[in-house]
Amino acid sequence: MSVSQKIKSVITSVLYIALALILILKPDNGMIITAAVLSLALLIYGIRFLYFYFTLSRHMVGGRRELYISVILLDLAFFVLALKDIPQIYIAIYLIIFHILSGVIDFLRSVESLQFRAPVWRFKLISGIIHIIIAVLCVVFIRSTEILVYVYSAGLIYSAATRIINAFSKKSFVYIQ
Amino acid sequence: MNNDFHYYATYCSAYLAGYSHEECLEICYSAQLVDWCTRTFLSKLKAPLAAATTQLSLELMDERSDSIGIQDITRIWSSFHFLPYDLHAKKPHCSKRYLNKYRLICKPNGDLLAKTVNLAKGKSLQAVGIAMHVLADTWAHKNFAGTPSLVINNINYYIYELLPDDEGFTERPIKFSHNPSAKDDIENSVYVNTIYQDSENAIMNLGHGRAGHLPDYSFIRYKYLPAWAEYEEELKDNPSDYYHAVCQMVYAMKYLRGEYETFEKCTYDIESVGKWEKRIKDIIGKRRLNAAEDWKALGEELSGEKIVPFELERYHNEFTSADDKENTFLGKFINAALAQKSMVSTEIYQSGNKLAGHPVNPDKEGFKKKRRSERSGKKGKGGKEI
Repeated sequence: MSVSQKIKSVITSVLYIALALILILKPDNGMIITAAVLSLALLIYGIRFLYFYFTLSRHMVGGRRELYISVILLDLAFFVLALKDIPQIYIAIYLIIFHILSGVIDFLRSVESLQFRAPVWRFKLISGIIHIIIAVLCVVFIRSTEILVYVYSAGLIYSAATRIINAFSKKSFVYIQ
Repeated sequence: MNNDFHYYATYCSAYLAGYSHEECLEICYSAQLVDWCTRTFLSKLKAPLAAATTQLSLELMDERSDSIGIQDITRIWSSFHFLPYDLHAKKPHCSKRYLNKYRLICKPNGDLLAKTVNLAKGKSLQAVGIAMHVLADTWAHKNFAGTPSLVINNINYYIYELLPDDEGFTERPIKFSHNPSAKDDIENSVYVNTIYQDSENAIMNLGHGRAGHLPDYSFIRYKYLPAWAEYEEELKDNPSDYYHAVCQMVYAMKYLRGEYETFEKCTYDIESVGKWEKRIKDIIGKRRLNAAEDWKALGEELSGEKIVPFELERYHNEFTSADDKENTFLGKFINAALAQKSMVSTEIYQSGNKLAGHPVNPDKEGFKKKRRSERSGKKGKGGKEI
């Protein structure tokens, strides 16, 4: 990771932590803020992928994947934005699905890393377990807005911590000559 | 390509082109030094950093990921390891952003190759060595670009090794591992490559990183789908490419010695190499990670002299203790490297492509700047050593 990428990671982590603190201090409006932030993030990612597809990756073997990702991200962005006016249970379900999916992806990445004999498999395994624990907590406290906001905030702080660890961990990579 | 080719095979080619044993040693040392002349190496010598011909993994990791960093990487890797084939290549319905990357794809026999060889004409043996490194890499690194780019340099799962047998070739799927400490397992076709990164400008997508060291092995044949080739299958026949590289190096060095009036692209000295064809093809085709021993034996048989191994610090003392640094071995290498980088970056810039940034100016970045700064007792921009 280059110096500027490290700085970007640290700034993003600080923003995550700030958002988590706002949510913890104002849990009443937490769900609406959560939905708005999630929607905005997904929208930005979706547009970035779309721009990447139309300017570059449409000429690349397998580049249509970027288009599919952008469509899914934009779809999710509008879906999440629509959730702000409807009962919290849907946001809770969204959170549960999000964390289960993230957990499963991390488990798969862990297995893949293990197959490639890469040492990051433990890190991915722990990350996957934490996502599943958060999903379970969401199910247990599905009727309590306050607890769900705290769980989501904990997830944000966890993401910030992993970004900071990634930014400062030493990683070797294949050197091409 | 590894030291087996850039050092020992270049020695053999130089000898076949008519250079003396001592001249061959200087040429092949310079060709190999291109893979070692990093900013870290130059800073130890207090030499101009702009002459860097390669980057260490740690240097790459610390490189800026913005356009300035990409330009720095592109200047180095396009000038010395992935010489662009056609800076004005056309592809219908493409954005300028895509075309700028597409035009940096390396292939043999481009206009820039002729300019590279001509640039070394009448210059030092170090310039000849650098030109031979660049020439040889156009064969080994063809189809990849010397700039970080997912859409150009990516490799997907469709990649098969072609293993020669009695009935022709057998296909075997190639497996990739991302563990940098692991060695390539040629028996089972398990090779190390860089990990997939969906960020277009990630360092992992530089050059042939996604194909691992496959382009560096002379014995291997494989077929795959280059990311830029619109699903057209590409067969990479390294034994044939490496043999062409030897024949073209001999021809180019004969031109540099004055045997020919002009350097023509797509011309190979098959006649001079022909006597050794079987031996060379055997060395190239043998399955192993490094063929240095066999190339060394061939070189010693050709010249009847002992070829000393490459040693990075061989010319350190000569350079650091000299008053006239430009006339030392490393001084001449640095000037030749700056000239090559300047020529390629100027060509890229003048083609309207900003990926390599502003051209390198040897007068501003080389020894003259160093002398100016020493006279004024100042350091370079940002307090860095020049």
